[in-house]
Amino acid sequence: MLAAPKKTSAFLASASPNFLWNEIVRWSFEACILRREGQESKVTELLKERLPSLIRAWSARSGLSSEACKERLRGLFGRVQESVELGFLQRRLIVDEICTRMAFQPSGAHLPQATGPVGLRREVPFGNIPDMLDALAEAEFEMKGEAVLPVRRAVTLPQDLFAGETTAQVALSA
Amino acid sequence: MKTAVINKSTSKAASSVNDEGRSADTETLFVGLDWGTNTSCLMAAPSGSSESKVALKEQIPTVVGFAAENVLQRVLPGDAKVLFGQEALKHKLYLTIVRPMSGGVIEDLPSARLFAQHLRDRLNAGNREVCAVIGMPASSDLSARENARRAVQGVFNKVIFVPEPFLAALGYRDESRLSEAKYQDPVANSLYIDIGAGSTDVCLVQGHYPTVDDQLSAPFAGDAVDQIILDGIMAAYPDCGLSLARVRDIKETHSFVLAQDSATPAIATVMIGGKLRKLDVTEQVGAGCEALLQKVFEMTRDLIARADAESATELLQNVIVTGGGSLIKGFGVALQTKLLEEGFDNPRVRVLGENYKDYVARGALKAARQAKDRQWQNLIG
Repeated sequence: MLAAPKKTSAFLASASPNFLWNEIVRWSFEACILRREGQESKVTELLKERLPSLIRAWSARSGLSSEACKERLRGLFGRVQESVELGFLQRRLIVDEICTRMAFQPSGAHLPQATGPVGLRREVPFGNIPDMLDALAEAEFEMKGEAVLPVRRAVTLPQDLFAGETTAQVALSA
Repeated sequence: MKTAVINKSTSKAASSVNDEGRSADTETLFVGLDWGTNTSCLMAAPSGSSESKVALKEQIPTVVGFAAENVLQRVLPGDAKVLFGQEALKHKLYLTIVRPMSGGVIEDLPSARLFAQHLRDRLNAGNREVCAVIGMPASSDLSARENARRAVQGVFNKVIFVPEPFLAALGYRDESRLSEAKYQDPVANSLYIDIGAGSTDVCLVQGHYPTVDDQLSAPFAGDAVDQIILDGIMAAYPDCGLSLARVRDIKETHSFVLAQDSATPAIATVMIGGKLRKLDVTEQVGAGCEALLQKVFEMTRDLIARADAESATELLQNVIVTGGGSLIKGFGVALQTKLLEEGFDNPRVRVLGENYKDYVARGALKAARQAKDRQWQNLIG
């Protein structure tokens, strides 16, 4: 989900602080989701290439002191992480409930099928076989979950994290 | 047929299975299974036995043969209606041969179930509970696992499915030698290349099991090589009538990637118009194997690029090739040469060779021994 093109430095220099802030919110959210999905290379790309330029541009144009910028960013990252964790937890409970109920349905009622290989989403040290088996079971559950209730539909951010922005700016970022 | 998969710790049905005769004090038999497209490897050991003890180790061609109608009595051993493995191949003239697997996953569920039952029979497990860890291709999806579950439902009591590259690395690692200064731990910083029938999987193993980010998978492996060889042969000898199964036999005998190995020509003996003819298919076999080498090289190069720069030097010393494709003559040397030509510093490619099936099954047996009770999936038959 890194399809949106990176903004050029000229664009960033002229973008409004609200627009820049909302981009930071969106991409931090994306980074947290990707980390939960085990896609570390994409997370690294976001953290090294996309977010720093946005943060620099916003900090320069926000009108806040350096310390205030850091404080606001820390608060944002904390809330985004918390929202993603909570979202995943709620989704897990919902998917678990749906799967359990479907298991007792008469034949003919099927859940959507997950596709693609089952791969670990977190690092497990080699010596720990039980942990590896748990991680595989988690990955399998997450795959089923993604088919039943896609994570980006289930996990959302509180709207108060976003700054007010104009329709034109939203369209630009889409 | 619907497969019921439930977790023992939460299931009343599971406890009823135990109530039906497998009491807690009954010995459990742990099984490690590499259920291969062409050959399966089975290892077993009773619970409580030492890590080094393997009670049974067997390689069985993954083949089921159904007796043809009107076969004369006493032609087939015991006048059997179904034969398996080597015995089926030996009597194939009187049988309809079915290969239950294709591309590393189950293709024909009824024959896969029969084959699984044959594996169970080989264990002489009696009433013991049989808990099997079964290797699956890294690229297999949930429907492939579901099919595998259906195939072993009522055959094994409990199962766990684990990606084959994990098991190969586990099986290849010799824990008893970790304290030796000269022993290079194959899971510390290695790149595993598993060339199966349906897919090629390349994994970074750097002290932890590969995550989705540490592996590349492509649906290009042994089966694709067979097709390239067959297409080439049909283009050169349109009337030869070679089957894909025969091409596989030719490949397994003559495959090569180095020019010096082509000095022993690949000759296919075929019947054309009632006459036996010998066809030189060296060029076609070489082309198929070369295509695989190129694909594996590209995947390896791409995955090395993902590794941390500081770990790359050591990683290049531990490129390990496993799976059926590793049996191609000269594959390791040719891959090493290509990596060197690409500019990688002093790469070293090791090929696990004939024993590769043992490593997956051994790794599966290790996993079975260490799995927690709650991690097994009970199969209600």
